[in-house]
Amino acid sequence: MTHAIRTLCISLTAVLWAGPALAHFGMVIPSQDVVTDKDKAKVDVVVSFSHPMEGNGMDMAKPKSFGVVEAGRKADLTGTLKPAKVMDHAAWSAQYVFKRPGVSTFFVVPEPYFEPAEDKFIEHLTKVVVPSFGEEEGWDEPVGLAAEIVPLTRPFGNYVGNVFTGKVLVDGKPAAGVTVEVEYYNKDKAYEAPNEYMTTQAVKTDAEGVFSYAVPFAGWWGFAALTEAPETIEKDGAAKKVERGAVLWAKFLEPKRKKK
Amino acid sequence: MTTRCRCGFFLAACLLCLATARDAAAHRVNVFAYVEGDTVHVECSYSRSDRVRFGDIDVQNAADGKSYLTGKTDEKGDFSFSVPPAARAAKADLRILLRAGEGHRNDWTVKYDEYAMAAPAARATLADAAPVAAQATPKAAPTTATQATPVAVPSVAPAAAASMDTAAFKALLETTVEGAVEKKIAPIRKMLLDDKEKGPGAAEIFGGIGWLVGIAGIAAYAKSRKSGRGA
Repeated sequence: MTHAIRTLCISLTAVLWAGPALAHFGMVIPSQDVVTDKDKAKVDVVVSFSHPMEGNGMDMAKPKSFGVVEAGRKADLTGTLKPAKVMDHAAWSAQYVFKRPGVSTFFVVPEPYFEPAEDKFIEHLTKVVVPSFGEEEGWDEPVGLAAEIVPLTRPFGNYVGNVFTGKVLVDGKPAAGVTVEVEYYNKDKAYEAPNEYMTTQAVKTDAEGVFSYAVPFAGWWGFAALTEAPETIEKDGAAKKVERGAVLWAKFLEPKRKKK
Repeated sequence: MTTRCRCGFFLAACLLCLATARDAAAHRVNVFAYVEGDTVHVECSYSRSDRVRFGDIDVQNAADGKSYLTGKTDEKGDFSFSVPPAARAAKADLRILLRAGEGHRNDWTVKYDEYAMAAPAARATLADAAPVAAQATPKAAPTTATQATPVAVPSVAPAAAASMDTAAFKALLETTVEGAVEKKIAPIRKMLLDDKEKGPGAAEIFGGIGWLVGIAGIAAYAKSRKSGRGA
């Protein structure tokens, strides 16, 4: 009996302490990484808050705002969000039709999520960039979020193995020494991490707010630069800290091999 | 010494090549087309800010490569044409081939389904107004339409009211109203496409409504004159 309780306690402690292994990620995943064909210009953009490598979902409240920026023009798409399921949890999905050549950056500002295990709110400002019909100018333009990753590597049309480089901006200024968590969207749980350290990869920004990561295998990769927001949110009479993550998703592909 | 010279020459040649090759040389050239009414609008660019000036366009039957028409893009990389009647008759997909010089070429296909729904040739006279206004930039388009319409509408309508019978007048009025509405709508349509995010501004919408009210007023005036004479 005592033994059982002790085991339970140890397990619980382990679960509560296993923060780094279970990284939260805001996710914005389009059904297509690029749009090249007018017949396939209807794209589903799925918004969720999940643990992408482990395939564990969390219920996500309707985002404060969801929109797209193309050539400096911002459009609010919050009204187009419909409830969806990601990893068996509440998520959101919107259909977007690409009509013109352009580079469209989708962004999500979520309702802050209270994480009891960490006793803080988490707010991941998340982006993904989708080019259409051959245009590729404008992928390096910031959206103007409170915290965001501005890509220095074009965030689409990349091969596996490419080094991805980005710059973390907080209130528009480069953020030095920020940890950037990197995680793979392990769709259908195709992969397994060999040990707990492998679930989430980590890099840090340099003095200019720049980080790099060499992508090891094909699929969607998320980069989450984690900063602490200057403000707190009141909950149960106590001021709670707010983790403000700047997240960017990008897909990396294997080349096609010609059949001989 | 000779070897060094040669190396130097080679290096200089390489540098010269690099220097003269425009940025565009590294780019793909893009062709994109959309259909509006009976008109196909073609946009050619290396990128958002680097358009294909005066590129050669060849519009072909996608199936057999037979050329329907040729032309050149303007300085903004744009080119418009009416759907060739032969293509419509043959239900052909249109291949729009762009040759932008320096060996850059690309093409875009407009499928028959995409233009089949559009206005057929019979309505071309009215539809003509739309493409003309639509070709201008979104900013310029409303100005063009507003300038053209006041001249056309008031001058025709009262004169017609004096000399025409009711049926003819009604027909003319219909034509005029349709034309005017088409003209007003064209830039809005173009804007909707251009920045689908913004849509037409309040000014455009109220301006359009204003025109409709104005035209209705003219019609009412003409009618009242006619009924007054009859009494």
